[in-house]
Amino acid sequence: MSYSILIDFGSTFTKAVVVDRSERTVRQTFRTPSTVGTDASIGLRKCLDAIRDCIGPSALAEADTTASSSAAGGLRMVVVGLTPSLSLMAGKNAAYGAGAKVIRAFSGRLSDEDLIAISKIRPEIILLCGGYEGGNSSWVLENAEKLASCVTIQSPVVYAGNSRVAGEIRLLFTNHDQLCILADNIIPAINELDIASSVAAVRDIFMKRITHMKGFDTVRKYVGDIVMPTPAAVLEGVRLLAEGTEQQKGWDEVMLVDMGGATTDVHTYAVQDSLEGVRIVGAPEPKAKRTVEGDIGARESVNSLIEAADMRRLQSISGLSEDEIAACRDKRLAHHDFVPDTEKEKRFEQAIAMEAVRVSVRRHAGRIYDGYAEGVLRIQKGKDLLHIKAVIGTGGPIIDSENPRRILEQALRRPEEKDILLPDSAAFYLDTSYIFYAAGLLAQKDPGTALHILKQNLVPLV
Amino acid sequence: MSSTVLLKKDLVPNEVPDLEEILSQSRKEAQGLSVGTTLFMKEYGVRSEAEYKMKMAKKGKVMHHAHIGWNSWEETAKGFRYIYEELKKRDVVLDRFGVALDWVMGVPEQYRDKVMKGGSLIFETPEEWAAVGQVVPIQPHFGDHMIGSLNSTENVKLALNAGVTCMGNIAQYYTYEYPGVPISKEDRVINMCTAIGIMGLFRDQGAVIHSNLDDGFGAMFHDLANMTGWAMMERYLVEELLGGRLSHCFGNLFSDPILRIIFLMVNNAINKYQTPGSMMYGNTIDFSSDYDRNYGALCSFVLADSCAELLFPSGHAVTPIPITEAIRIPSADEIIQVHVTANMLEHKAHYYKAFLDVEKLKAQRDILLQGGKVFFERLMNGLDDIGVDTKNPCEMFLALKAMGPARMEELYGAGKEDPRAMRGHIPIKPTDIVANIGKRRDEICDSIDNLANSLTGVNAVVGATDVHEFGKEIVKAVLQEAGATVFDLGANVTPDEVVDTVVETGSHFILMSTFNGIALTYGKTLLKDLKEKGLGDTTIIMGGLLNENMKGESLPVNVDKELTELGIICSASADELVDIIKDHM
Repeated sequence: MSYSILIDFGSTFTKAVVVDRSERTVRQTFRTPSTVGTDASIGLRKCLDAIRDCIGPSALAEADTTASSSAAGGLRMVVVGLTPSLSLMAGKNAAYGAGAKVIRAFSGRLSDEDLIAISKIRPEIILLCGGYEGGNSSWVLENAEKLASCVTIQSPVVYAGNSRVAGEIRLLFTNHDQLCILADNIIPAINELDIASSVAAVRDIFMKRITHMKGFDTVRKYVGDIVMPTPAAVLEGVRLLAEGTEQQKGWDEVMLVDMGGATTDVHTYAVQDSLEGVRIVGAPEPKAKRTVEGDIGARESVNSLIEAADMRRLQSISGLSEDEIAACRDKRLAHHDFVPDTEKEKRFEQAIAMEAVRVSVRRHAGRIYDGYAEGVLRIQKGKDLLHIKAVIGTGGPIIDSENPRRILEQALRRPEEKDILLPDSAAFYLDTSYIFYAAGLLAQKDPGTALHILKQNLVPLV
Repeated sequence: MSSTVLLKKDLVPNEVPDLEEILSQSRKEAQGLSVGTTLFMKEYGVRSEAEYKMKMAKKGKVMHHAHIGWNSWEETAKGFRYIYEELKKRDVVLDRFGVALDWVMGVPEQYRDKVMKGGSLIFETPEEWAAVGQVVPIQPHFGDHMIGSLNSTENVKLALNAGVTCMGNIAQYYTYEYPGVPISKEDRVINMCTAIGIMGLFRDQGAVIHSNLDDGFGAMFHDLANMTGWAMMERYLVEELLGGRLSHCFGNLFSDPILRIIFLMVNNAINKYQTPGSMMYGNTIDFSSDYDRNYGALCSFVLADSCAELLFPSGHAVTPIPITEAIRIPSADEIIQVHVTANMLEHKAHYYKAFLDVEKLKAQRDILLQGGKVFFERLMNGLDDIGVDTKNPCEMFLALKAMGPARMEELYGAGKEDPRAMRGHIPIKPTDIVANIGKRRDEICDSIDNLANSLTGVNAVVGATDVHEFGKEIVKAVLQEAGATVFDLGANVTPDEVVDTVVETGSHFILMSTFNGIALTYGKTLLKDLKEKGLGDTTIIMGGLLNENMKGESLPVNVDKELTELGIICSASADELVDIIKDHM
């Protein structure tokens, strides 16, 4: 009997998934309110106690344990590039791919107002990029100088721009006692994307932060090092489900929407291929892409969600008046742990979940625009998700819904939305056991079992 | 060599119907369909154009084709009559008209609002389709936006019904796109194969499918031997699998007159079913804004093509190209003018034909045929190896299109492997375009004193506003030779892309090639976007065909003056570029 225990130190729960690798099944899932804010090892002990009860002390002792952590809500980042469509877009993709939260993004030459804004944000990392290899070096250097000499900005910097000035930029920050890590140019040449080393650099900083959190010294004794941030583990799970393994076919192109109280994360795996004759403009899109909508959530962000949503749709889905909607909103803002208890509250919860999915997947997906002149090709900006075959939902408001399928159907494009690159149809699934992070972690050791448990534990919505 | 591993799922990601299903659909679509009778058929007492062509080829008569590109049926019909009558007066016979349909005609009616109208003919009603062969006794041919478009089956039925028996253009399946129309690539290919199947059912009534190699992937090969193998592949798909009869048109990009004769011989040799040809298209790569030189180019290919048809009759019509075509859509009078010229040239071709060295020509033909066979076999085996069903035309069309000519040449090219050569093989016989680009680049580089390193430190963005990349390639090569760092955006580049690339590259120079009649709008947009980003000091150089459709004008007009007034440098020749850049450094 060999067990793998996959632990996640999330911001809301500490979770554990126990996989019986010889049977290729999930033996146990367990979760307990997160203690990362106080002492991470308290939550871990609770998990281990529950697991011991289930598989016995000797099996627990022999099991291999791997863990991820979201570092109490994720890493707050600022991305600075030169153009929104090229270096900035690539930088944002790298930041999200590494599991971070992009608080704000800036492009072009940084202004004094931009610097004030960055100071206020106090980001945990600044990703500075811009310039193809052999291309622009003066603007990135100028931005670096401004950031380095701004006394109110002390964040570590990952530089992933034109390598011609990389040494100079590192020196600039070092002279101002600011950490600067050099990564490969994120856009080395036209139509080339190279985010791997920036992702690694950001993740490295992320991991350092996790290991410095309280209780993680003890945690390490039980589970070893935290191997990756939770969002990266989830994205890895999404990649595995799509690509499959040599022995098992994957699902090709998939989407995972995770709606929480503060944010809604969209993860997709899709290959840039389908639209013939459309010119793709902007930085190339990564196959595995993650975006975080910081203004779309069911509790902390419910106010901004309602602002981003279509009020008429909210009303028609919920059957509630504008005033009733405001009352439901206020209740959630006041109580982040609020659980919908009446028919009316459930209808509201359903409506905001539907709108959250509708808005966030449309921000994640690419679009087609008319060409610039008669007879010229049309233009694609962003990711082509036309061939997504499965849409998977997770997170409280989706899992707890009485009609989760209807929520996930919002990820499909409607007949009148011809220019949005979302699928016309898809199969729908629920992830009720938060299996993706576990599969992503397990995939490092045993991708076959990881894929198997993913497929086994996703609940089809018919 | 490309190190990319080919997988079937990358080429043919989704299931498609097999051959039998396609043919059964073709039979269903063909029910109740019959071939109409055109005035031409009545005049010459034939049931199809193919029958006429076979008769004429036997008689040793060279046939002629005129390409018509006006945008309304009314104007087209008027032009038909005028050209027919004027040529008759001058004792010149025109056998066929190539009618260029507009982009929107390649799209099913319900989606036509999703496509921008081009400047060519749109049939508004089935009656207009039916009338196309009833105006004058000249046989119509439909080339663009027919078989290979998104509306292949419907258009084939309408055309056959109108008595049009020769129609294209399979090559456009590979290169013409209808973005924004929600029809999958699988459905497009199914529709096209069904249309080919319908043509196959009417093959004994003279239905001939036309494919202009120079419109499709054919033109993108660097090696003519591979292009020959590609033609074999198209024949295999259309004739052996789907039962159609295929005519390969070529010529747009063949500048060498002798090579035109050789390639016609190649075509004849692979034409297993002796299908009469559609037309040999005129050489357009030598055409420029210099009309006097265009006359020379015209005479050279018309003479060669006439000789070829006299020596090796194929049924292909000779296509004299009006000398204004590089500048604008030719008028009826300009079409008449070149046909009268061609008529004289045909008379003189008889003197040349007996003194052409046929054995030498045959030897060249055989080299291409041998190389072509190697390419064809390698391509077939390569597809078979990765699991593509080579008996399924839909899978094959999808796989070939997904692979693209560059990768095909890299993986299966017939020439000797050489890692230093373009696409990893030394061409057995380079295409004229490839040979010309190299020659032109060398000429320009040789003509500039102290070229090397003269632009070191200069960053420049180059691109084309349309599909024409050859001019851009020459410009790029010259700038690189001069030591500049060139950032190439490729074809169909949008202004905002150019501006963003200027930012990311720190370039002070933009060099755009444009041929699609939008020079002024494009230039203005570029200037505006650059200014918005604080890059107003960027030097813009535009070359190609600097014209634009202006209100009240039926043809695009030159906009050099307007562009110059805006501060854009209009450059007709790559020779002066290095000096221009130096002056603006």
